[in-house]
Formats: sequence, structure tokens, C-alpha cells
Amino acid sequence: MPYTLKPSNAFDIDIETTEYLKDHVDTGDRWVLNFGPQHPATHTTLRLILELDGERVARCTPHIGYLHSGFEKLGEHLDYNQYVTIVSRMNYLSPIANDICWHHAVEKVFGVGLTPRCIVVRTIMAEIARIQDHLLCVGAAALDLGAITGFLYSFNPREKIYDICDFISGQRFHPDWTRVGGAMADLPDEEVFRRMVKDFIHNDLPHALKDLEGLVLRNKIFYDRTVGIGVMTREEAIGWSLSGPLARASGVRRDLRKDEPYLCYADNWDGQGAEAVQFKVPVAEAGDVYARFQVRIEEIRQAVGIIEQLIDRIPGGPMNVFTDSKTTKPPKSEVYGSIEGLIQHFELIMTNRGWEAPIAEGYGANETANGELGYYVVADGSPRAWRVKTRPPSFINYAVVSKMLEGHMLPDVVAVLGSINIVAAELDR
Amino acid sequence: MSEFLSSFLTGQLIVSVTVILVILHVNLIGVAYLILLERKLSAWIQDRVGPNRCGKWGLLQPLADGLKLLLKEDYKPKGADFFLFTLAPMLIIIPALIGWVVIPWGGVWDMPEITLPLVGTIAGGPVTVAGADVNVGVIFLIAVASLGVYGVTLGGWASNNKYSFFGGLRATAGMISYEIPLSASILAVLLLSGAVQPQRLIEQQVAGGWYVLSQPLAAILFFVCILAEANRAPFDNAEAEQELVGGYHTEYSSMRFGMFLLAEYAHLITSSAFLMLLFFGGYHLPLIPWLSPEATGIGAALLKVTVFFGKVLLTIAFMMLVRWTIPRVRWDQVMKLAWNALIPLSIALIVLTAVMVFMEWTAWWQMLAMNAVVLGVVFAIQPLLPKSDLQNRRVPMAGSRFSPLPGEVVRTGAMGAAKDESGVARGSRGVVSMS
Amino acid sequence: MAIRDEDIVSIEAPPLNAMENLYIPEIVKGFGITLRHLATSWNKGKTTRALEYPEERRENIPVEKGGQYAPNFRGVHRLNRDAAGRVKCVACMMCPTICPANCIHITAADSPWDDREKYPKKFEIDELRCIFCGMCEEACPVDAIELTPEYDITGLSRQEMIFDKEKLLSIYDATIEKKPM
Repeated sequence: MPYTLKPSNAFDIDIETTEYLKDHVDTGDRWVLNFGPQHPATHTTLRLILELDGERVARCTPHIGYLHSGFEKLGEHLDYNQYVTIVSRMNYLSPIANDICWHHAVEKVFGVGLTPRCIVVRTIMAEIARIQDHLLCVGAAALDLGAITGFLYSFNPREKIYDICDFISGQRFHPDWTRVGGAMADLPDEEVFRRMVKDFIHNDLPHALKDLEGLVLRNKIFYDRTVGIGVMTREEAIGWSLSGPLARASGVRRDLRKDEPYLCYADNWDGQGAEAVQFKVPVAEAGDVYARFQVRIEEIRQAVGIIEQLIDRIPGGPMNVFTDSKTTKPPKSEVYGSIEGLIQHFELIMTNRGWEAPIAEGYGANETANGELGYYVVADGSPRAWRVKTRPPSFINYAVVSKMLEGHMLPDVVAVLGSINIVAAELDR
Repeated sequence: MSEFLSSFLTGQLIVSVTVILVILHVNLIGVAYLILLERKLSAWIQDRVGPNRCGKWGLLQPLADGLKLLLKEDYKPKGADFFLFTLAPMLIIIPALIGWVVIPWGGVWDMPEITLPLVGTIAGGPVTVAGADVNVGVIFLIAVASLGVYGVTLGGWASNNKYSFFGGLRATAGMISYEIPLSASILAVLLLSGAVQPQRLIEQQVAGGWYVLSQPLAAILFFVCILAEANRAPFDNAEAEQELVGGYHTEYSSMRFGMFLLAEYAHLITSSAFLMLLFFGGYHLPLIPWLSPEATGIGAALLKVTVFFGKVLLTIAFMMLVRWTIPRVRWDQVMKLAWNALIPLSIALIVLTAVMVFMEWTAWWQMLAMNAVVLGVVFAIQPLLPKSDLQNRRVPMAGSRFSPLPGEVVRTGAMGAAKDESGVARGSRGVVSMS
Repeated sequence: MAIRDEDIVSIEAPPLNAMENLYIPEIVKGFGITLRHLATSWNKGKTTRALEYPEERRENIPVEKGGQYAPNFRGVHRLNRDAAGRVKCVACMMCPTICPANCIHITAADSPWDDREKYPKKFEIDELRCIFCGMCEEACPVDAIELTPEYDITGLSRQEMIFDKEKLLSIYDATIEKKPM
């Protein structure tokens, strides 16, 4: 029997010494299927060791580390502005959300406030990033079940988001757009930016969503493949510390935008009593793949509502904060116009002078598309953080994959993986 | 010599050999262009452009693909069964090709008397423009079309790859399930026509209206079944890219893979021609006198071939539309669909058709009324049928950490070892204890 | 701060109704969607999103239709020239310091000109190592290094992709029309 668990000449597996096969139950007809790291449905380099009884998954052991690239360690070698280029590459489905979250944490530690203009633009970009991430995820949920067309319909509006990123920052995919106390540059042309965003939320996105929903949402094939798959109850979701759409699909009422508001989600964000943006948090009770799909779709709709509230209300004034505290970069006019600005500019960049960072530590978290993305920053007064710890949503959410999969079938593996939306670059860091 | 030759060189033989040679080559080139058509159609459906770099509109793309397949490394995985591994692509393509032989592409041609050198005079008379005028043609098609699954199964087994093996297993299971409704829906038609000769089937449809009018449900059943038989989406579980990488052809490369690819599309042509023959009047189109069985001129025969090909092409385009529209049905749901829905429905259709034929209510509108009644009954009793919540339930498994058998203690500690109640980890060959 | 009830949208998955349970109506609806896309994107119709790259380029498309915004685009670097045609750089070493990818290498030397003390004797950028984040442009105190709208650079070897001072200056000559200083 070449395919069973028993060691044979063809398969050099010693059950006693192979970690993931310890304590397994050998019923004599079980297979070990190596799902990944190179597999079309794992999206990136995930690896699952599946112990199969027929097509049923009896045991699933996730392995990680195939995309480990030392991102966290690099945080100790790059200064607070440089590191944004690295966090941008963690969750590459919505890079700009990572930028915003990283500098949210840094500004929290530094105690730097933002200008109202920057807060509004960052909120808009954060919501666009949420749409960007969810569009890929709902598309991939359809793709993994074989509906390739739905995937491409949801991919088309993402092109528009790339265009917006390209317009404001100069790069489509990795904008590396935020800086401590602001952004790399002001909006090049506010009117064009506004038109592009409006075109996106009024033309491209609604059509794509309508087409995608029409293709799969009430289709019995899709319904039968997703309802009841990978169920997490509310207690389990809290117990496994899930966050984001996974938790909300299981009935957990948690959204950092409401629970610990930041940017425009908080009241009085401009210092003059402005109200927080209005939006609702979608919560489903079922906790299965279908509920996650629905929650993500509804979150896209709510994000559109937030953008609509803000897009016509971008305040004037400067984008970046300019303080004397040597934590933010001075604008170019100051660099060329005044000796203080020039000195501060030089000091911020030079290795032996650099930032006057506080000696402090802190945790800043944002509600990104996949869940709570947080950075724990330990600043020791030098221009570089002493330690940066990431709380990636993918890592926490991936831990639950074996719980979701066991007892289901091999085709459900792809449905569950697609619904969790794991980004291996963020998972392995 | 000439007497010997003319003794078996009948008009039918000459026409048959010609048809076989032409159809084989036209269709094999057509298959290559079907792949291009599929890529173009899917591109347009998905707002893309599709292949357009090789020649105008990408028309040279199939040649480039073919060349690429020929020049690729012919790889054989370690531990593969070489004999079966080589045999599988042949086994899959041959049934798909020989199915074409009984399809009456051009109806009957009243051949004139011709005189050939060396051979002498060959008597004229009506000949069938088909590879062979088999009087049990439909039965032959059923028999041959089912053989294709051996290639899939053997390819899956011989590859020494678990993904391939899964694909082969799924194909076998699907085959067993879908042969029944396939044959049953054919039977519903054959009951009505009383003939199994392809040419006769067409003549009857010309006279009494296409069978899609009198047996629409059977036509739908048949269409679903040929999708499943040909391993097309939404029933492409045997190759299911997202689940099984490539299924049975995961380990195949080069021209062996090309054979699988060709066979898939050749199978499509066979199935579509079969569908047209049984339900859509073959080469017949209403209101065109040259397309009726009475027209037996050479021009009529050629026009019939063209119309038949056109219909087949439309069917295949529709199958492609299906593939690029709906998600894949899960493997166990495919089985469930067959056994719970298609087979009861097809049996009901056979019984009712038999009753209708016995009562001699076989006009197309009477049969259509019968189908409407069946559909109404299905619609009415469908909510009353017991719903099983079993299909997406988590099934308890021995040794599972998160879906354990009842009574097992689940630990999710380090390595998540399932342990018995005294806290001792079970040995690797231990018996599952249930309390 | 717990989320209030009025801020919750409750999502439910209603069971499929009798029509949806028959597969066919929903599938036909799906055909409608795909056929509409087929009809509108056929032969490069209006819903086609693909850009046929070598023939169609983002530079030639308006910004709002997905084109490139040349003043902001972060492409290949260039070294700017001053009014006298000399390299503008003063070899202050700001860009190699800020570069997160460590791809800029400068060897400074005493300037042969009177208006500055140093100039770059050697100025190399490894374009394969560069991540095009644009921080060198931000750091430069004299606007000497800039990122251009050029993006299609190719080379046959790694050595070829390390751009030296002459190459970077020639990029300035080639792109000054597209992106004035």
C-alpha cells in the first residue's frame, strides 16, 4: 500500500520520530497529504499536513515559516520613517493600511498629533485599503470554489485603487506613503483625487459587487459549499482571539474603530468638536464561510459610506505637522528657506544625530481588513526602535485553521483557507 | 483484380473512409482552435483581451501551444508505473475519437454511379455521410463514451501522486453515478422514437418536431450528464485545480498532457454532437428544404455537415459559458445530485414516457405537457423532501483534535496530542478508545 | 467602549427559496451577467480593463483613466544638472543614509568648482536593489536626485543595472522634457 501512513520503501517516514505524526491514530487506511507549500489554493506559501480518511480531514497540522523574511528584525535597523517600506510589504493586499497603522503606533509613542487634513486623508486611504483587501478576499473565496470569473470581476476595481495609490504616492503597489506626523507629500491635486475616489466608489465598485454577488451569493452551488463549513462559535472565536471579519462573522462585537477609536472614527478628531464618522459594524451569528463572505461584502458597503462622508470634507491646511521636537520632517520650503529647517532636516537623517525619540514603549493597533493589526514599539531614544513587535491578524487567524478544518472534506480546505484570507508575508514576517 | 476490388469497394465504403479522414483531421485541428475559443471567450467574459500576440487575433496560438507541448520535457515521476503512465493518455483519447464514427454528419447522399480506373464502375445509390452507418449507433456511442474514464483512472493511479490518485478516484465515482441518468435520459428519447439508428432519429425529429420540444427535461438531464462525463465545470472534480492541483494530470507533461487536453475537447465534440443528434434534430433546421432528409444531393450533404458542425460549435460555446459562470460543485454533492435528484427524475421520465407512448399521446405538445407536469410535481414536493443537514456537518474522526469521536478527551496543548482520560498519550498504533 | 446596538448590522443567511433550490434560475441569472460582460468587452469593448502594454502605455492615458501622473511617479532615478550643465549633487551623503535598501554608493571628492566644496566623484545606484520608495528624493537638500517617470529599464547583467553617474545624468537629459525640474 504505497499511499497509507505505514512506512514503506517508497516513503521514508518514521512515524515514531516525525513530530507531526506523533500520537496519530493509524486506522490502516489513512493518508498523509502534504498540502502546500506550493499549491494553487494556498495563495502564498502555506503548508498543511492533512491526515485524510478518504477525503475527510482527520487531522490538520499547519506549518509556517516558508516566507519568513526577517521583517520584524529589520525594524530594529531602520528608522521610524524607513521602516514603513517594510511594513508596506507585510500585508501586500492592502499595503497602505499597514503604513497607516505603523505610523499610528509610532505617533502614539512619540505623542505627535496629526493635522486634520492628514487625519481625513488617512481615514479615506484606510477605508480604501479595507475595500482593496476585502475585494481580493471575496473574489478569492469565489476563485477557490472554481468561479474564476467572480474573482476577476472583483479584481477590476482594485486596479482603480492602485491608480489612486499611484496618484497620491507615485507607486501603485507599495505606496510607502505615510511619515511620522503626516505623509510623504500632500495630495498632488485635491480635485483630481476627489474625482478619482468618487469615480471608484460610484462607478467601478458597485458594478463589480453587483456582478460578483449575482454570480455566487444566492447560487445553490456556492451556498451549499460554504454554509456550515468551518464554523466557529462566538465563545471559540473569543477563545482563539480572532479579530476582524472572522470574529464578527461569529457574532463577536468587536471593531477597534468603535472600541478604541482613532483617526476620524473618534469624536473630536480635528480638535474643534468634529463628530466621528457614521458607520455600522456588520455582525453575523453563523460563523461559517458564507457568513464571512457576507460580512466582508457588507464591510465594503460601510467603507463606501465612510468615504462618502469624508471625501467632500477634506480640510485645508498643511498635511504634515512641523514641530521643533525633532520627530517630524520639516517641509521642503523650510529646508530651503530657514536655517532651522535645514538643520532639523539634516539631523533627522544623519545616523549619529537623528531622532529625538522618547524613551517609551507603546502599542498602537488599527482595525485593518483582516482584523486587529498592531505594532508594539519600544523606543530607546535613538533614531531606531529598540524592538518592534507586530501583531499580525493573519498569524492569529491562521492558528485556528486546523480547528476549522478537522472533520470536513478536502474541497472544504480551500473554502476555509480562502475565507480566512491569510497573507503569508504577514504571517511569517 | 478489378473484380475483386469492386466486390467490396462499395459507395458506402468510399464515402465512409473519406468522411473518417476528413472528420478526424478537421476535428483535431478544430480541437486546437476550441482551446483558443475557450481562452478568448473566457477572456471576454472576464473583461480581458485574451491571446492576441500570435498572429491576428491570436490565430496562431494553438500552433504555438502545440509546438510548446511537443518540445517540453517528457517527465515521468519517480515510482510511476511506466506502462500505465504511457497507456493512460492513449486510452483517454481513443474513445473520444472513435465516438465520431457513428454520427451522421451529412445525412444521406444519393451517390451517382462513378467509374474509376483499375476498379471499374461503382454502383451509385443512397449512402450515409458518416464514418459508419451503424444501426445501433446510439448504443455504440454510450458504450464508447464510457471508456474514456479508464484513461483518467489509470493516469491517476500510475502517476504515483496522491493528488492524481484522488482525481482518478473522483472520476471513477462520478462515472458510475452519471452513467445511469445519462442512459436513462437517452432511453426516454429512444422510447419515443423506437429506433436506435442515428439517421432514423433525425428523420423522426424532422417529421414530429425536435425531441427537445417533447422531452425538454431529458435534454437538460442529458446536458448535465455529459458535462459530468466530460469532466467539465461545474463537475470538473477530477482535475479541480484549486483542490487537487491538476488532478489526474498533475504529473503529466509534454505531449502526454497534450493528449489529455485534446481528449477533453474531443470528448466535448462527441458529447455535443450526441446532444444535437438526440434532441436538436442533428443537421436539421426548420424551413430550409435542403436540410431535410429528402434532399440527397451533394450540395445538401455538404450543407448538412456545415449545419451540424455549427450546432456542435454553439453547444460547446454554451458549455464554455457554463464553465466560466458557476462555481464547482463539491465532489460529494455531485454524487448527491446524481443519486437524489437526477436518477429519480430520469426514472420518472422513463415511466411516464412509456405510459404516454402506450397511450399513443406522442405529439410534441402532449409530451411537453407531461414534462410540465413533472416539473410542477418536482417543484411542489421539493420543499417537503427531508432535508439532510449531514453534508456540511463536521464529522467526528478518530484521532482528530477538534472533531473527536464522542467520549474522547480533546487536548489542544503542545502538539495537540489526543490523550486518554488518564492523560497518557496514545501510542501511534494504539486502538481508539471510546468510553 | 462596547459597540452600541444601533451601530450593528445583523447579517443573516436566509435559506434558499424554492426557485433557488432548483439551481437553474440562479445559473441563468449568472449567464446573464457573464453574457453582458461578453457583449461589452468583446473586441476591446468598453468594459475591458486590460492595457496592451508595449503599444498602449500609461503615459499616454489621462490620470483619471488610470494613467501615470508624471510629477509624482517613482521610477528610475536621475541626477539633475544645474544651469551650467554640471552635476547638482554636493555629495552630502543624505541619500545613502536614508536609503532603506542601501543601494546608493557615493565617493565624494573635492569639488573642482568654486561654488561648492564637494562633489560626487563616483555616484552609483543599484537599480536591482532599489525599492523605489522615493526617500532619497525627500532627503536631498539640493534637489539633485530625483525619481523620473521612466519605468521600463532592462539589462542583461547585474553589472549593467548598477547605474553610474554618467548614466544617471543621461537619464536627466532624456527625461527633462517629461518631468521638468
